[in-house]
Amino acid sequence: MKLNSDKILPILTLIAMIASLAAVLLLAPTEKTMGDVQRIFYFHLACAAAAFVSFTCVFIASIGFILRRETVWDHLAASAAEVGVLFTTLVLVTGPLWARPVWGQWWVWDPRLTTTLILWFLYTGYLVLRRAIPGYRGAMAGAVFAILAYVDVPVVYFSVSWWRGIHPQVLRGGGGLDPGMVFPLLISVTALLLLSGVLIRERLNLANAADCVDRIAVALEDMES
Amino acid sequence: MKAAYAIFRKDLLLELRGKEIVITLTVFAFLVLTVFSFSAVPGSTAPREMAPGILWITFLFAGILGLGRAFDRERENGCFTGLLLAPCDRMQVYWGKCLSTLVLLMIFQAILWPIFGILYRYSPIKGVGVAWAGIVLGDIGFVALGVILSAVTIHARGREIILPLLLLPLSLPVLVGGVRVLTLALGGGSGDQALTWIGRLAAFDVIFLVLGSVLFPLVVEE
Repeated sequence: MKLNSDKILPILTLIAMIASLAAVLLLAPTEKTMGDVQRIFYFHLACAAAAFVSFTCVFIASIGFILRRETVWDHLAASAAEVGVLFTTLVLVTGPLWARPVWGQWWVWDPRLTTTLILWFLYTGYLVLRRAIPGYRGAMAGAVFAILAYVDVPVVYFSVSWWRGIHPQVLRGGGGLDPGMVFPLLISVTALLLLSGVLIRERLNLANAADCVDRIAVALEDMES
Repeated sequence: MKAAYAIFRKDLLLELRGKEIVITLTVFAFLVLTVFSFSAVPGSTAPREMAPGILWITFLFAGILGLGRAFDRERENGCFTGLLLAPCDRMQVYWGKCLSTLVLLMIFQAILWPIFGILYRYSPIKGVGVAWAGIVLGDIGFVALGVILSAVTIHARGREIILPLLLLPLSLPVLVGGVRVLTLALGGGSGDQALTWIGRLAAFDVIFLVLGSVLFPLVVEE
């Protein structure tokens, strides 16, 4: 089997994911008060990172589409949005799984939680919008909405966080991350970033292929008539 | 600005002849305010405490209906295409639409204000200045977002449902700020706090208006 660049990334991702599972389950120390439940955190934070990178990708690709008007930018934005929604969903599922034993409830209206949920609504809305308008118009409408949505997130974040908050601030607040936890965290973030990259690329290839098929179908119809 | 003013004047004249949007919105909002009062246990003070939030949600729902109606009018008989063919900067179309929607919203809110005061037992005069500063600034942000999103969804299948789906989460900052200012105004809280939130609302408005002005010409190009 010859290794080409198409295969290297998925293989790397697979290795990283296995390594992250091993690091999180075997290597990482058990948290004193929360116990094993805390291990969700490595996955939770890594999903959040992957979602954030995906949405940044949507934003950049949308600007790229507006400047260049090439479909490939639009396909990239749409693909990254789907992957971003997937990872945001995972963040919203793993968060409550951790919160239920630790906070004693599935959900609280904390700014971080609220804004993540809003993020999910915004990009689900983006996907719905994409489906509702076909063709170039849909691409442009999507690009414009993606820019509005991306800019709205920090605005929402600040407007809501001026209220109150209990979500742990692990990275900025210096919330006492054990040195032994840093490596498993880094490797699981790497693994999920790689995974999101693979998924976006696969989805992009699929979108380009679908486009190609459409064009061939149109050409065939023209030939028949 | 001349073209924006012309569009504004056209929309207002149209409304003045039919009074369709303002009357519909007022009756709808009156109904929503009434229905909300049923959501609480009889005799509880919950509706009064929730009043600022209830009023703002009513504004958002009615605002979405109003936007939908305003843009349906433009779609009928291909008026929107005509508007875009007008020899002026597309940004002016955006500003004109924003201005007319804003004024229509404010007219309906002014009619609703005393009704709200009576239903939820708030004096319509106490703190009215601060309250309306918040309402008007919130409206500007909502309209800035609403007009650009109406343009985004104008060709969408099932746009009646897609517009609120996109507009409600996007206008959350406006809702948060509007509710804060209204709560402080009705509760007679410290003026400083209200002023901070009024400043933030003004900042949201600037962000959304700038984004809307830049992005609107892109959405409507053919």
